[in-house]
Amino acid sequence: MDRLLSTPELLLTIFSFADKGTLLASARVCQTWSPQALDYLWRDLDSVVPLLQLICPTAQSGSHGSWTVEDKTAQKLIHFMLQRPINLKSFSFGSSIPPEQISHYLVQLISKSPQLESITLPRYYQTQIIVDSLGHLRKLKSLRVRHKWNQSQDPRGQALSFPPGRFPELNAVEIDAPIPEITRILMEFRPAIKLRDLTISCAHLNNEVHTAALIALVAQCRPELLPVHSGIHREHDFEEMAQAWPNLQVLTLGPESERQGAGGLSWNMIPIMANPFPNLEQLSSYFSSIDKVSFAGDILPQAEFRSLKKLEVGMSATPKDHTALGFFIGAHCQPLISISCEASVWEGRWRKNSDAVKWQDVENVARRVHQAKLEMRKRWRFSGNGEDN
Amino acid sequence: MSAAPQVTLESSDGEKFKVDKEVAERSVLIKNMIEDVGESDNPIPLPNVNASVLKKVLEYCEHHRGDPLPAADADPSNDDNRKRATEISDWDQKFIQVDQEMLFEIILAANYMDIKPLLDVGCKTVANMIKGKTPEEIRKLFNIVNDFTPEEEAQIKKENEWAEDR
Repeated sequence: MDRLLSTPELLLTIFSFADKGTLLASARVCQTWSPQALDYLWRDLDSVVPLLQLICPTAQSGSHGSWTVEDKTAQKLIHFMLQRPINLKSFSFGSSIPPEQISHYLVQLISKSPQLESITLPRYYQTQIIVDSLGHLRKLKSLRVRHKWNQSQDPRGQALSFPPGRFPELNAVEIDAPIPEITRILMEFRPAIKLRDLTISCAHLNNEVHTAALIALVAQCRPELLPVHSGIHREHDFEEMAQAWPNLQVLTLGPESERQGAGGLSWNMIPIMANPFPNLEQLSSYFSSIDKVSFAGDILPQAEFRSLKKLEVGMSATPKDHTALGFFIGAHCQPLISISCEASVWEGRWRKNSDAVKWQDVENVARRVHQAKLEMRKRWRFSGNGEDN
Repeated sequence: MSAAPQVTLESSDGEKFKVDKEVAERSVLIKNMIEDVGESDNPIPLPNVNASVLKKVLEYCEHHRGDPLPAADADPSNDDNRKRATEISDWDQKFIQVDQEMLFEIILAANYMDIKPLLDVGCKTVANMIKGKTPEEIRKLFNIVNDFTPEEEAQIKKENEWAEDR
């Protein structure tokens, strides 16, 4: 071979001008070219997937097939991790690799990514060694632990432990755990003051005693919490919540049901919730389409949301009479309300609601009712009958 | 106006080239040598560069004599330089239209004489030659023997599949 084509430094200069496809072809040319071409190919990764595919070819497909780490490949991975700053900001990972086989790599990945702000992991990767390494991330703001609730599906789940003083910036946590564990985690988080966003998707909230106890506990631990995401739907629960967080601004309920129309929050809860939550600006929930709206038709009812500006209904189906529903919503909301049905925040994924056009009608009706209310209030004021404010 | 200072360069095959010092100093190697030994009438030997290649290199230096010098610490493997443009100016393009042997000689000479812009032009040209080609086409182009086993080559392909179409 020509001297030029076997001089590593000159090959590197040549490869510095090559695109990734060319680098891949060059890596396959011969033993001399391969290391230099691979060096450039892996120099700036825009995704962590290639790294993970090295240790687990099925990392993306989610296959449950068995796999083994070849010594050579594992060494390569460690080499890449240690040689290059990866600097991920956000990392979401799901795979069927047993945690005892991958936690070592995940810990390295985490330690090479001091800029990590958000991490989502399956709960069975929450080994203490990973949690400990996460605790050193000074910038971590969001930690989401996705968990299939069935214990038999998830025998490796470990109890989380969040040592006080760690996680200095953490302000969003998604927990899916049994009540005792949520209790413990919330107590551990007590010294932190930045927690602003707590999602509890706890399948064990199946009776009122549990729910009430949890609300009381969360309130006690986190009095400053403003948005609450919770799976509670009963009248009694809302009273508890309103007492616990009188300044609540964002409330997300559910998910109750994947099926349209079934389950969900009853529309008849709207008047009940309106007065206890005077500062609520956003309400997100599945709404039930089964129950009829019981409403006398009063355009200025006693119960009125004073701050509610946004209603997220996700995949909820509209009840048959969507004009009546629009009237009902408009009447119970003082500010101009917007209704969103496209994305659902609590699902974490985007889907299009097939009832979108009807929801637009509902919003239009609600907005007309809002206008009518403004007119009426104005006239009342002029005639001296209305409220002062 | 006095004549521009000149230096004499001697190729590996003994041919002597008298050029303006400013032109010769496009080569960092020569610039350093002149600084080290001071100005003298003795020819500067370039034992790694033959006359035909040196002639080409000096043609390049002559054309680019007024160009600003590249930053001394520019490291070709530096990440900042990673996404360098692969375009070559018209004159350079025409200049580098030589046979493969001469192209490689020019690159080696530019590397030895430390003329970074010329090295880049040469390496860009090689990069353009292999662009979009298959491994087999590249081997044929440069007469390289495939010393991989089929399994080894398949393994490299598999581990780096993500880079395809990029």
